[in-house]
Amino acid sequence: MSLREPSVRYVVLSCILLGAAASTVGVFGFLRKRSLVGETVAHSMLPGIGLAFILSGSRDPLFLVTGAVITGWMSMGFMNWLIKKGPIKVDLALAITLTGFFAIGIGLMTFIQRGSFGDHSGLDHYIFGRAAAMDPKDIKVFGGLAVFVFVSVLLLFKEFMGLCFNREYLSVLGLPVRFLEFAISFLTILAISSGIKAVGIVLMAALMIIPAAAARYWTGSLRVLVALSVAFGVTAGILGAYISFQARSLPTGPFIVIVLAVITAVSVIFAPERGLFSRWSKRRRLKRRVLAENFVKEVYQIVEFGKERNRSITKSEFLTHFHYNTRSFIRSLRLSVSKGWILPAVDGMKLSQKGFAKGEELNRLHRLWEIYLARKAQTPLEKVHHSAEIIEHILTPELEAEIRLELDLCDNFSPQNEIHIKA
Amino acid sequence: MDAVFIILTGTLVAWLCGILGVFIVLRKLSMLGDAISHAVLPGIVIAYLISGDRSSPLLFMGAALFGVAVTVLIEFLNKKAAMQSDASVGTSFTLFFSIGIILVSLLASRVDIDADCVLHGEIGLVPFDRIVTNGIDFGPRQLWIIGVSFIVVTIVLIWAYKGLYLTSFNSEFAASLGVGIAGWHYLLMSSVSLATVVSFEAVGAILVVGFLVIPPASAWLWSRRLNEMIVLTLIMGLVSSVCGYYLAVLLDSSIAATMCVVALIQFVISFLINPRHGVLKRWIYKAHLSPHKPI
Repeated sequence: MSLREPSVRYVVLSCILLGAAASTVGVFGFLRKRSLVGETVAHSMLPGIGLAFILSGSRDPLFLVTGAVITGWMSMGFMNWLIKKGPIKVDLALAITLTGFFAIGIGLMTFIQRGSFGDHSGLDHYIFGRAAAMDPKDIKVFGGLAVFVFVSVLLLFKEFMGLCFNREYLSVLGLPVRFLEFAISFLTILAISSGIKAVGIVLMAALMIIPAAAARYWTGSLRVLVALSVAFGVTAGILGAYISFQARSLPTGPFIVIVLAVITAVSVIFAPERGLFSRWSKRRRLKRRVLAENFVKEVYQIVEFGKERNRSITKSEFLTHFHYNTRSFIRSLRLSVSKGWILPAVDGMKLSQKGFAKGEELNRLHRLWEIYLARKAQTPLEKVHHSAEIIEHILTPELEAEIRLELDLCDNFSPQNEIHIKA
Repeated sequence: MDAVFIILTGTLVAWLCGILGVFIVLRKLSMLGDAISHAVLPGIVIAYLISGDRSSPLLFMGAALFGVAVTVLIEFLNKKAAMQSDASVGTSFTLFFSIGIILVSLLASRVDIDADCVLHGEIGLVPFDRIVTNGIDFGPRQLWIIGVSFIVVTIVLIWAYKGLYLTSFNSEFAASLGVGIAGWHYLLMSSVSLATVVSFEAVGAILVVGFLVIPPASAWLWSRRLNEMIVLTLIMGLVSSVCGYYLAVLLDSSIAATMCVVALIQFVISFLINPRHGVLKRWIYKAHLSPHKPI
């Protein structure tokens, strides 16, 4: 296979287009938390394909796609009817519609296979997808659909964005909200139908759900989200087409899903901020900082109590005041030393200049919070210490200033003796 | 005689899935049931490949493993990786199902399953695969497997009835009584994977969901109590199996699919005419709506 062959080029182009179309529409489904609707609609296209073949007697993609869109549309209507008119919840409505329509489709397909309806070879490609089997006519129909969907979504981008985030505002502006909802559903169905031959009805929904879900890990902006989803969808489309040409007897849909799953796994693990790795290391950093801060604070409390800043403390003296096992003592000590808060001394350890300032700051914040809770939130005195133990690590200078203002404390006030904390 | 065996197998599949489906529907886990029945496919294929035997216990273990694995993956994506729940379901089971389909296509020559079997099973072939020992014919193998599984699942459900009952209707109350919610959840999920494997050969991996959710959903519309719902589910399962078989014969179509379609028809009828929230009842009310009549 090579891209020089026009047929290969067109199949690849068609996969790029449908990847782009499906993933853009998919973003809106994802944001409206309706990803699984695509799953149901896609499965519900099978009876449409079967019926269109029986009625028209031809495998013309135009007829088949029309049938698919009609039953896809019917399934959406059926689902909404169940949800609106009775006690059926979304989840159940999805499952019932999916299997019900799919069963009808399977029944029709078997009926076609066993009956005498002429040449039905290739109809089974619509189930798990076979990109390489697309002929020029297929490419015209499915590629055309994809282009139509993609362009329509880009044109209505702002309106759809409003639909996802602030529906009421849109209707106040006088925009036709119901028409827009209709449009987004219709485009979803068209996007799914554009992939029924290349990806197959069973797995087409994945091409709508997964790119958006993976892209969401990288960004919080809708534009970037759409752009990234398109990038992921197109990548999957190209690789899917490639694999389909390499192994012509294998279905395409599953391979596209695998490509998408790899992209998702990378996103879930390595994405900055939202990724598992970044969140894990952030948590680890916080934990280490809290350990070191607690340690410095406790050393500070010991030297402050004796009013001797530069005194060094031995391990055993420290342990008479605070409970640590050897491992956690060594760990906290090491962390504090690496932060430059504690200096090793001849007979133990002592606070550095920076460490002293840190200890002073932590104690100040601790007491400030205790006073705040006691005075402003009427918290019983025996409960304030616990909350302050946590808050002292995360209060910023700005928040401190605000609390001082709230408490009417002058700048040089030191809440040293307001409430004596138990060490 | 073949018809009897096929109908009996269909009924047992519907019952096996139905009694589990009752709890699936009540717990609003229908799409999770869908996810599991798709996701056990790779487990089935791998176990087929290793054991080379279609009734090996490895099959059940493999499938149960994958069924629980997909629930864990969904939970992980949702809770630990902060993916919204619909997307985590959609991502996880399509991945598992894709792996299964690729394995089926690659190993089609070495394992005794193909894409058709995944889609709609081969319930029509059930009467031909018999257990014969010492020249004595014990009847279709599938029927035995499904029958035994039905009995096992029924015993498990009777044993677990109280726990499932409590956690299905009022999970906070159950938690306050010290009932472990997660344990019952995973028990149910692994039973669903078991039911999927057992029914796989007869009705395929996708239509199983129909047997799992549609009859219990219809029964739910008619009943006020859990035991009523279970009995009605069994009746609906029996009816869909019998009618489905004859519909398939009439149309010369796939038996599993027509059984599912009959179940869907039952559901639509129940939805329209059931006495509690039926649509028809509301239409009648609306037609008679006058200021004098209270609604």
